[in-house]
Amino acid sequence: MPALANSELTSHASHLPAYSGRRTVALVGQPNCGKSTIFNHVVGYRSETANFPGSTVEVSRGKVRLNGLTLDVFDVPGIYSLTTSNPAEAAAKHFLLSTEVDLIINVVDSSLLSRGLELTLELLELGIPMLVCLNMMDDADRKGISISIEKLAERLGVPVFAAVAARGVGIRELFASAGHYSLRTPVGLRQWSRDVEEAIATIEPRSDAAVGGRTMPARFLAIKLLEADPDITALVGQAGQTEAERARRRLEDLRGRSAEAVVMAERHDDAMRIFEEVASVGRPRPDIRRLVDAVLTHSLWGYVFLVAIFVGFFWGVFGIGSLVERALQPGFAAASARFSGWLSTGTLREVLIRSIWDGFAGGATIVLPYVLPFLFGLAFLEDLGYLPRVAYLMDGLLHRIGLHGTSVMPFVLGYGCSVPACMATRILPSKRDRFIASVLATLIPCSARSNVIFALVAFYIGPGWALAVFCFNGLIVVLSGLILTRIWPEVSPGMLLEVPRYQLPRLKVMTRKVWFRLREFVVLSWPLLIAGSAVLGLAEYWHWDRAINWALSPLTRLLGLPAVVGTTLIFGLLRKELSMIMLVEALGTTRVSAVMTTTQILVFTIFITFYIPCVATIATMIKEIGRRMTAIAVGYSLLIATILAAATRFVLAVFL
Amino acid sequence: MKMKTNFSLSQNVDPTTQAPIQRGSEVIQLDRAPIDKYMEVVEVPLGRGVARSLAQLGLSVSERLRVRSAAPWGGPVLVEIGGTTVAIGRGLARRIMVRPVRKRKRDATCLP
Repeated sequence: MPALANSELTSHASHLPAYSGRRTVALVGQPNCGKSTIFNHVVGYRSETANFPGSTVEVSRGKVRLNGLTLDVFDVPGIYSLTTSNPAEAAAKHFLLSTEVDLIINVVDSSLLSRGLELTLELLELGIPMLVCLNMMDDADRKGISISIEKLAERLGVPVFAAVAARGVGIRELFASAGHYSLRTPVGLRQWSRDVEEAIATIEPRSDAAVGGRTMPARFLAIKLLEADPDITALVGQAGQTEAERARRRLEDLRGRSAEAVVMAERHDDAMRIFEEVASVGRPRPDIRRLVDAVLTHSLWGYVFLVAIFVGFFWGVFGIGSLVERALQPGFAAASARFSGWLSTGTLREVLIRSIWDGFAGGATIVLPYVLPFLFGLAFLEDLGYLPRVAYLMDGLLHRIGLHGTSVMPFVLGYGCSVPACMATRILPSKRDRFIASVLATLIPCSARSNVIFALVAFYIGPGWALAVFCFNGLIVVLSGLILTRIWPEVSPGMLLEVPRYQLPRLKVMTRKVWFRLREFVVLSWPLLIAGSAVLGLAEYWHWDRAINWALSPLTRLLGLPAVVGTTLIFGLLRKELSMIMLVEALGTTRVSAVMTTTQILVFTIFITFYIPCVATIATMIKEIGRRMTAIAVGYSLLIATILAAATRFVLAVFL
Repeated sequence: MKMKTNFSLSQNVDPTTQAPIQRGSEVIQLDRAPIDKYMEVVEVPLGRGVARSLAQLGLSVSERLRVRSAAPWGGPVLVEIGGTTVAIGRGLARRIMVRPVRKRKRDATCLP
């Protein structure tokens, strides 16, 4: 259910006065606590949810209207603490510090309450009105943890709500009172131990900073300066910095540890103390997930299952896809022939209408049959929480190619689409890791490129060959990683990844997620396919294609491909399937294997698999890693595509 | 209470005697810790915010943990700590020092 209906909320909030105007609400919490689930529930599916830490990399925005009030709700990337370690967390922090947030809804995984409270205590220091949402109460219950909501609310000084967001429980109550509580500032700021309070007192008067028009409470600034937070330190003036340094040194002498360690330790102890006061831990219920994990992370069986799962995934997508493609193709081809029958051949109108229809048909018979099962399978693995286990299993090998283990996330996403894969590199801590991961993630065949492999190689030559192409691609990705690491060596910090509990994927959430990702194809790429097809039809009619093919003939000759293929490669810039659909157009028949030899089909596919990313990906890369790096990445892709395709041609000429 | 400054900044202190726990024979590196045995963190590597990132995930001095498995080929160590499971890279795990402790009743419920 997308947005909460007005009537449903007023019945809950009828005893509260109606407020007018807008309020800005931020959903803040540690990774995997269910913020995005709550956001999607209230605002409609707009935020990426997945059961691995770091799945939200951007701040998502949505609107909810209730009781005469408009709430601007922001879903913020998960942060373990306000001291950040990667760009995704930095985005969250920047948002909180620079935006006029009227209300923070701190979402906490109840089964990890003691750890979650550490962030809660930090957020309270911000002095912004706050609500705490204890999510995943069912998991806490299963662990035997029972929490007293009243005691917690009293201890923290802010309202606390319980919820099970995955089932939609408690969200209504949470938002119904949002308007009311957004006007209450949290009371009773915590007291630290005496020497820490003294240190704060010396820094406080000197610290004064405003970010983007929002002034921060001096006490919050003082605490952060004591913690040597680099972002905050950069904001205050010289006087504040020197005073902070002095106070830190004093505290260090007194306590024998860095000021930062002292503050963190006290906050940690406080969180523990609150937890012990408000929660009681009983007997946990036996959980089968432990057994499942014992197998899936086993030193031998873990890998057996990993290979089995991914091969099974491949077979499933190909199986379903080819079934549907085979079923649909005759119908669409017949319709195409009938168009040619109705309209006099050779006229501009006939060419245009036929190419538009072919573009449409291409999307329906070549793209959708494979994209749909792929997206469902990916959504299932994501929501299950299997991907962090993949990172765990693969990290050792990835380190040999100098990569960070968490790079697995962007890579797996890369099999779907390069755009979110590039954005996911934000979870990596270092710039060099992000660059290498982006380059490699775009080398991985996205669903568009995979479509070409399926619909061309698997369909016309055989599934075994398609699998070979995928494996070959994997090999090249690994080799590229080795080369890039050698060029830009840097010690990758050790992997530190939270591996969340398995969750049973819910069909409704999966369907919505698939539609969310598919919508981009239906609304953007499919029309692009149709338009591109039309343009090619026109190009053929006016014989522009001859000029383009002539210009590209050195390339096509090197690769041993028919000259007409030249134009199709240009269209790959927009969308990779376009190349394949254009191929059918250019060859003049859907029976590709009659016109192109096995070698030619493979050479064409290899080239498509590796060469230049689509414009959407290029735009994303420019944003993530900059223009110069993107140019290098694009040049590299063209280079290896040409080399590999040519090599394929000559090697296969020997064997076939 | 004023503490001596020549402590290692992240070393554990015996709660009863307030004396630092020396690196005795029972203190080992995390990547060598036995599977499924309760361990207590004695020392945490410093530098580049590593100690902070570890603490954010619940791994700080005197916290209890349990090693679930270790991936082959120099892969990470899977550790249960603070109610959740964390994968720690082998290089990092090598620099975290732990020692075995006796199981407490609370451990069975606080560690998943």
